[in-house]
Amino acid sequence: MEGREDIDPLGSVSRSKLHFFWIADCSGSMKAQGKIQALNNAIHECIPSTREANRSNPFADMLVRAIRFSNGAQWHISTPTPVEEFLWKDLDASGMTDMGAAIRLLRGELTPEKMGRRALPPVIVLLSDGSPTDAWEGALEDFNNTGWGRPGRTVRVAVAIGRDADKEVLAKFTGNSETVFEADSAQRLADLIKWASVTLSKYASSGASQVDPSPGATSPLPPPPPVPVEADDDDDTW
Amino acid sequence: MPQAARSALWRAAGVSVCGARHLAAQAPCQDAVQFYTDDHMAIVAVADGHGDPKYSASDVGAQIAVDIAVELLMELSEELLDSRPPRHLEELLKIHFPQRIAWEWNRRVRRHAGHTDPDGAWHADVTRYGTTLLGALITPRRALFFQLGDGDILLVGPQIERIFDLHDDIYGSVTHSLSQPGSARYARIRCLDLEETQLMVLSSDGVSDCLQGEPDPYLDVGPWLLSRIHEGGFDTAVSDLAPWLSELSMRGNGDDATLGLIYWRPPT
Repeated sequence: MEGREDIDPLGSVSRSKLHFFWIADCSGSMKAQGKIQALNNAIHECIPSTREANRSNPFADMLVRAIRFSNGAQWHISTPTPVEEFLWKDLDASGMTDMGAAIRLLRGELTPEKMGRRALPPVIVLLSDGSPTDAWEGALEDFNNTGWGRPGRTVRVAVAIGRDADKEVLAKFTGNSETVFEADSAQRLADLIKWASVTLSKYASSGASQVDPSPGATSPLPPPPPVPVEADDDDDTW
Repeated sequence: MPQAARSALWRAAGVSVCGARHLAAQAPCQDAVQFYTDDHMAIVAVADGHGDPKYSASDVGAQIAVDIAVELLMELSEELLDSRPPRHLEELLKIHFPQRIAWEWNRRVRRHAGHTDPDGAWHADVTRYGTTLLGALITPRRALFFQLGDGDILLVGPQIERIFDLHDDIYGSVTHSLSQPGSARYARIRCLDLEETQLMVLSSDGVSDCLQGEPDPYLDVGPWLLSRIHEGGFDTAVSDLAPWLSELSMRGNGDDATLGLIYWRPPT
């Protein structure tokens, strides 16, 4: 105990950390109909409002990372980046849909050793337009059996981009079909990306305790923006 | 407001502040603290109601929890005089004590929720009263510690000891709760023979969650408090705690913050 009695612990106070992960499908099909560029544009556009939301919360610091997957998976932003410094470098699209590789990368970072155990629930947003082409089920099962991967410990949503997205696979990733949202146009994708980045980050950083959920049970998320009622324009829908 | 109690052997106190986040939202403090001491025992209990809107009566649930903990721990003071090894006593108490706490909490919460003459079986109406609970009973020889959910208990003497490590199930903002069906199975109990302990600190997670790092800065809370008590006396140290906890909450995660203390009075 010697020497510690003079240290006022107030000197070590820190705000909560909110870890936010984009997981972006960069397979070849994302090139069609401008989907990858719509994704890039949407993330660029949501940055100012995400920063604004973070500034309005004096009790949490949002840190952003991103994974891209096509043939394998790589960190697009590997360092937990304060949202004030967060810049989006455009992704391009080609190759396969190795979602399992992305889940394995994520799992490697969401460990008690790297994250601690008392961070705010990390927000994970999976964006995909297709079906996985690698062994994703084993990767997901492994992740779901880790400390941070168990149900209720992260906020997971998926955005199904276009009609060909495999929503069943995405629901397995999020744990619930109600947390998979369809984007059939660039505008809807932008709305959902902004909702995920601003609203879900606010929700996850509320600091409220959640009771350990029974398997399959999750807390309801804030609702996404309503789907605009517009005349169908087949040229603009995916 | 800080309060304190004294007996021949101990001083006990509890201080709870509404977190900066709750103040901004004009929400009530959902932590509660209760304490007791006489010449045979000292008891402190701390409860932390869940802040989520689903748990809209958790301030009431937390107050009921600490009241029950003090009452039921008081009844155990005779059992702590038992000559059996602490481990043995711990195993015996694990069988029934968490169930007694859970039963009584469910019964009183259901009564508060408007049930007529309720028993202590779980009912969905208790969910919105959700809270954690920490308790400690100190006798001249032994101590008994109880934990359901998050929060911390520190013993400060020649060494600093955290009584319970973080439960394997507790990650992020997830915790166990008295409002869960079968909550007793998540409770933990420890019984220890004490030697040279000078201070015991119970705290809601609003304290340790603001003090994250390596080496763990939360462990500095105990020695720092003890030095404040030695410098200015127990009452002064306790009266300084409310602004200190408010500052911690404001600079940290904004959660409610609570400390319960038992201080071993030095022999005169």
